[in-house]
Amino acid sequence: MNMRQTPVCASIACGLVVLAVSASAQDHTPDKDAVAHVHGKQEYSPYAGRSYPTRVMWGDQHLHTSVSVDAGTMCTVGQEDAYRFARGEEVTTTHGLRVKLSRPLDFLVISDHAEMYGLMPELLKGNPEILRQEIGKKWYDGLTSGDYDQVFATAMEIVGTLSHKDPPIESERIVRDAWRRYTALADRYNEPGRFTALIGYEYTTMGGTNLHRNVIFRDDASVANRTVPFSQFDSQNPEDLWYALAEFEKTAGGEVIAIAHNGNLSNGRMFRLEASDGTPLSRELAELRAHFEVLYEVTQIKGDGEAHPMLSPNDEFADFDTWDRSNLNGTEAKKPEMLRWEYAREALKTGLLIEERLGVNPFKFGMVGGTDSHTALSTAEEENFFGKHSGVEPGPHRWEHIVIKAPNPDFTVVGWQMAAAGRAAVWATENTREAIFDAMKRKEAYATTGSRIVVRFFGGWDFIEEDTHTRLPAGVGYEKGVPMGGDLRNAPGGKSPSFLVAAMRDPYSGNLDRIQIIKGWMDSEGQVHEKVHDVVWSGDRRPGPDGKLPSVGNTVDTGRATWVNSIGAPELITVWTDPDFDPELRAFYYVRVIEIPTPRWTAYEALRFGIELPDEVPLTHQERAYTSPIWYTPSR
Amino acid sequence: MKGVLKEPLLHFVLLGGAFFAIDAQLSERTTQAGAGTIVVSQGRIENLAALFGKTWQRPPTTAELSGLVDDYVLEEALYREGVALGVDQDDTIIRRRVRQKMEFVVNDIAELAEASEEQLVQWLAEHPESYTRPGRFRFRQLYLNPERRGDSLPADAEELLAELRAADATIDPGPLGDVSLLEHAYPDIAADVLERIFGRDFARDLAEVPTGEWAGPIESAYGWHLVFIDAYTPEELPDIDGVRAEVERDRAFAQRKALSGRFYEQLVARYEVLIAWPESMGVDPR
Repeated sequence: MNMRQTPVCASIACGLVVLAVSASAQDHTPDKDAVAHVHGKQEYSPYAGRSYPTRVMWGDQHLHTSVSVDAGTMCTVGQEDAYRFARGEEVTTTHGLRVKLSRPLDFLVISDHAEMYGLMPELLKGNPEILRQEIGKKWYDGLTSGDYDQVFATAMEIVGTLSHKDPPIESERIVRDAWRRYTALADRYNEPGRFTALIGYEYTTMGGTNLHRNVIFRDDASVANRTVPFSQFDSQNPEDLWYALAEFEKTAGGEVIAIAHNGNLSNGRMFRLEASDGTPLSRELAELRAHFEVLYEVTQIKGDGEAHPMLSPNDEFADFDTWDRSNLNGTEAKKPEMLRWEYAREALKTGLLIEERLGVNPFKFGMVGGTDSHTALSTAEEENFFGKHSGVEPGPHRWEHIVIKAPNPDFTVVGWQMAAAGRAAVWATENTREAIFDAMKRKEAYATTGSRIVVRFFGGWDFIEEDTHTRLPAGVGYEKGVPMGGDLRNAPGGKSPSFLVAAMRDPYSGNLDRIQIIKGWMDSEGQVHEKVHDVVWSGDRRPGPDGKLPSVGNTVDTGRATWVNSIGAPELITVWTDPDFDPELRAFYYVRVIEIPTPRWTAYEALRFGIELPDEVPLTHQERAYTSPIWYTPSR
Repeated sequence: MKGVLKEPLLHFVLLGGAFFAIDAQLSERTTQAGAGTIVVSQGRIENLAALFGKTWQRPPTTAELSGLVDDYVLEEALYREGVALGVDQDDTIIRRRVRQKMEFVVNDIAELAEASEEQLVQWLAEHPESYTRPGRFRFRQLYLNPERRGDSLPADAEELLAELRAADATIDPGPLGDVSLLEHAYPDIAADVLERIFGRDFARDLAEVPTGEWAGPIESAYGWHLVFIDAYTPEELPDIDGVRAEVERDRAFAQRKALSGRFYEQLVARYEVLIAWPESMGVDPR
């Protein structure tokens, strides 16, 4: 499946695209004075003084293999193949297809489920310690029955036990052995400077309502082996995970972070005002969450979690791969009042409320994406997407195949609803465990829905229009401000914060439609608000009377699954100053970059297998990037 | 790998070992029809009791346990007779289960092999492409945005090239070029990483450029670039000491895959295989 039909445009033939700042007419022709000026500074080295990150690292922090108890029911591809695939090698899928990434990843976290870690291969092998347990025997019979329906039903039953309080199978020794095999494998595949294999696992509590967290270690196996994955059989309460991680950091001397995901399927439970037992949130718990949960996985195959159209009715881009009918396993319908506690933008706002009350913001998180693939293959490209799990692979019926079976058929999720997302982009100084972890910890990271859009975002008090003409935006960005994930305080008298933002398209994907800055704030009455600002866009479009920027257009030929970069811009840059700034009010700002329309994975599928898809199946979409916010906190 | 697979004696030993190990693993389940011994081990009886306890939430009485053991003996006898009669052979479920179990056993056995120094060196020599370190560049670049410059792009490029060549060799080209998130100076970047940043073929084109002078333009996914390579370290194949851990890892990985494949081949080779292709299928049996 290593085929590509991307019309990578020869840059000259791309048509006329204007960077929005170009209108302000700095002279772009060769300037002899400038040459002479630079010529005179002979001691100057153009290589000197780059202590900041100069290249974004691309990766996935959320991938399951056959070692995961649920994936293992259908996926036969293991952890070692997962690493080799991420490094750019060709591997064979569960169903026997050959598959390869168009471009390797810089890093990977294999985050197999903590619950019954490594049990599934042993079960399928017929490990007598498991088969002597009744449920083990039953699962073994079901999974090896050779009958697809029975295998799927058994798989669903196994997934169901992830919501139980007690482990259905005793497997402590199996878990410990499998964990140590994994950490050793990660160490073998971790090659500083070339490929980073961060050690991690997924704490999968309350399977049905998805309060899951990926726990990621900074250190190597020798430190990670001082613990075993904390599972929901240890506690179903994520607060206990934080206590356990705090204990680990204290006693083992390692560092860890926890990344939550799929608040959209938590039915109002992911970002609440209260503690998990319903009592008022304590400062201690808020601090623990802020310490460990520095990032949130905002987009992945099971839907996009940035914003919801009901919460943000004025945001025309809010409805993107929205999964909002029920909780994860379709056992509880979604009610509108749940949405507020599920989506990232809303949580960032809720965080301001809590910070006002407690002095700590438990939802002060940055953004990353992940796939959450259960195929051992981290695929997030539209034309090379291997889906959520190995029950079904690319084929004429994948679009209608059941992905998650719910008791109520209305809540059952079928193939086409899967999003071919997402990726984690990290501004790390080098490709090592330590550098990538540290960048994640300081939230200098962002999410994309799959394409590799490069985004810089800096906030400060002194950015001016001329900064967009500097040939090195990052240089002036770090010099005059803080990068994404940073903090602004102490507004100088009479000044509003200004932001330098720039984006460059994925060299293999679509041009850029626009850059937006999303501001959230809390007013003096304790109400929270949001506003989406289009700050720079391609072409000479002008906002209409309603303030809306006209659409960029659409060049997608869905029948042939192609597009052309004749619209949009390859790069956009601007400085934006908040026009409504009030130094007394808490606020945050993050960036959303929107690509021009390109074919969705469903269009490639329809083309390859010659199938007609019903109208409800989208065939085009606009990929995007979400950066970590920059927060403003008044000094009081 | 080849070293192992080309050596028939070693082969024989490995495969023999494999069969032996399988026998050992399955010994409790050795099936023979008719006479022979059915052994019910202490461990088996404990398992039967535990299984009963899980279901009934109490240990079995002596009578119950005795009944379980009798039932087990009957099951074993029926199983052996059944296998001898071949009643399992058309049963898809049984066949798949047996196959799967065998595959796992084979995979485990493939873990056993360990490499000598000689084999590692040989592996490295046979797979240079996997260990060759890509070329590395220390270079500066000036970016020209084709959209912005339009028709004057070639003339601008030519003029800028002349300016740069006339300037001091250590010039920072940044201020002369167009705005971009691309860096002006990459102190040390590998060719493969460069392609991921600038797009396909950029590193290949850059490698053609002579060191120590302004050259170009060369094209990326974003536009044109005038480039100055301060230093180029060509790709190189390290010796075994530089890549030992990787070679060990990759050889073991490949060996596990190949050994199972080879094992299956040998396994099938123990049989005379006769395939009766229906003529209608149009398959040439040769």
